[in-house]
Amino acid sequence: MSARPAPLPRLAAAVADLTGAAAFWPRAALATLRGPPLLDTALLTLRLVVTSVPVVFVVTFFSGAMLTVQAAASLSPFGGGALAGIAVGFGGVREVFPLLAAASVAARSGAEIASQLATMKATRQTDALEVMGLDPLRLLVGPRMVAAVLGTPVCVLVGCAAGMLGAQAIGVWQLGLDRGAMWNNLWSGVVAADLVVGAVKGVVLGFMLGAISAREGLAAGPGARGVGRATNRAVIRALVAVSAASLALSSAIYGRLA
Amino acid sequence: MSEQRAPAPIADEPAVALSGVCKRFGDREVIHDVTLAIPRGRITALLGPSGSGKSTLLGFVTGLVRPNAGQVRVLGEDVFALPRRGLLALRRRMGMLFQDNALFQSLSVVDNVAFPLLRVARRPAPEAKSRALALLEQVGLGGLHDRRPDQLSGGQQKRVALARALALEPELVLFDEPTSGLDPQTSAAIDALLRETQGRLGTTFIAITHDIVSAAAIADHVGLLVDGRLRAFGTRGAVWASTDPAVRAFLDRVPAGAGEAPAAPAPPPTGSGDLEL
Ligand SMILES: Nc1ncnc2c1ncn2[C@@H]1O[C@H](COP(=O)(O)OP(=O)(O)OP(=O)(O)O)[C@@H](O)[C@H]1O
Ligand SMILES: [Mg+2]
Repeated sequence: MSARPAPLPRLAAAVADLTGAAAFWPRAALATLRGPPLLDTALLTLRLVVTSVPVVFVVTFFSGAMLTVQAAASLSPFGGGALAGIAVGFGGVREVFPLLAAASVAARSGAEIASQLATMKATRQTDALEVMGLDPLRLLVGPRMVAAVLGTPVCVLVGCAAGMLGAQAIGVWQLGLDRGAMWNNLWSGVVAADLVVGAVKGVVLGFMLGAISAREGLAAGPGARGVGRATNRAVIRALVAVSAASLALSSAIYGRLA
Repeated sequence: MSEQRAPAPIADEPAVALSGVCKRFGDREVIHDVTLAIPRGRITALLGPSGSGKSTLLGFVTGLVRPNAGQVRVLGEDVFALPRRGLLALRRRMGMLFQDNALFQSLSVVDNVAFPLLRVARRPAPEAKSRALALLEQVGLGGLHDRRPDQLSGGQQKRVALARALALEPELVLFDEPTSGLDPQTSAAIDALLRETQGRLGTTFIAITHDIVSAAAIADHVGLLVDGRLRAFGTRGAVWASTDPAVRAFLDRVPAGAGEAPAAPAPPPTGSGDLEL
């Protein structure tokens, strides 16, 4: 589009778009509850976990290592390595690893959901379903929502484990910390409840990134360009929403412990 | 069949009846007050140049496009007065071929045809598959059933789409540009297949097309849409003999017997068409 619309209509369009996005969430939730096809759901859940886990693992492993280097450097006047392990342990498991895991799922699987649905929309496969008397929301969105809601917590837990491994690896190999002591320090700040909270965060963030990706896919414009835009938009919106929700959940759950 | 006009029994009710239908996109009115009745058990072609509103008209029939005014009755039901459940049930009585086929790209050819049997009619898998194979045979595509849709030529994809549209034994089959993008020989073969299939099943077929040659080859009845207005509607002979200048302007543009060039892509709705770099 070479001629950009005037600011006011663009604002109105943006508001309409966001309203449409918000209105989609309850519909996505309903579609999910109305019994999506089982086989599709199982395969898509498996696919989401299998394709996202490598990304999640790498991203959180490196982040755990990075956090440890920084923590050890800045905490060295106060006892260095031991404190670094403790700080990275609970800071990572409670905040950084779950967020990065969900972001990685959004980038890997959210983008895939958006691009698949956008392609189906652009090539009118979704209209073909409608004309057969089938509901694309139940058939296409339901299984993907379930996959995101079940698969993301798994990825979050994998991310927590990988982050700890990254911290341990760099602590032992580069910083020369004692293997056993480092591992104990990492776990000393973490309680079982943190992993439960992580899983709950995974469910919430999974729902959000699933709903956002599905909606942007189904709202795609025509042609290859529509597919590209929808995918891009899905990833950006999912990242923003997931970060904001992650903060909101943390301040709701841990905020009052301060 | 008699030509009487009096209150028709249900069986004589038109397959599709539009009355006073209008549609605006933004402030552009693309369909102006269209009223027409499409008879059952025939092939009706709705002709018109690109952008004249043909696909929009078909959208009314499937319930995918809601008109701003007027009534749309399909197979005896008022499409836009139906609750969602009723609309889905009505759609199960129709089949549709989309302009670019809309085949499920992730499924093989046979699975595309079996899909409505499995998911809509809930047939057991072996039965759905053997029925799908039989349908593929009927449209002349035996042997290709394990391919992906993107491994087929345009004409072959049309045949798959036809088999899929016929899978649920619909009472009404809709075709959006069945021959666009095909070479003249392939177009003629598809036209022959449509005629043969309709003759065998006796189902109501509605085809929208800008291909006059194709309309002449298949249609019992013809409607002509120009700029969102219905300029003519009747038997093919009557429309072909029309002296209305608007009708002649469209019909006479193509020399009889010549195949029309493939559909030119529609111009973009806004902008000057320059690349956004
Ligand atoms: N969703 C939409 N939003 C805005 N304008 C639209 C929309 N759909 C169709 N139009 C416009 O309505 C007019 C009629 O479109 P339609 O697709 O019904 O034409 P058509 O006769 O099928 O054309 P073609 O032969 O090119 O397929 C066109 O000018 C088109 O730009
Ligand atoms: Mg069209």
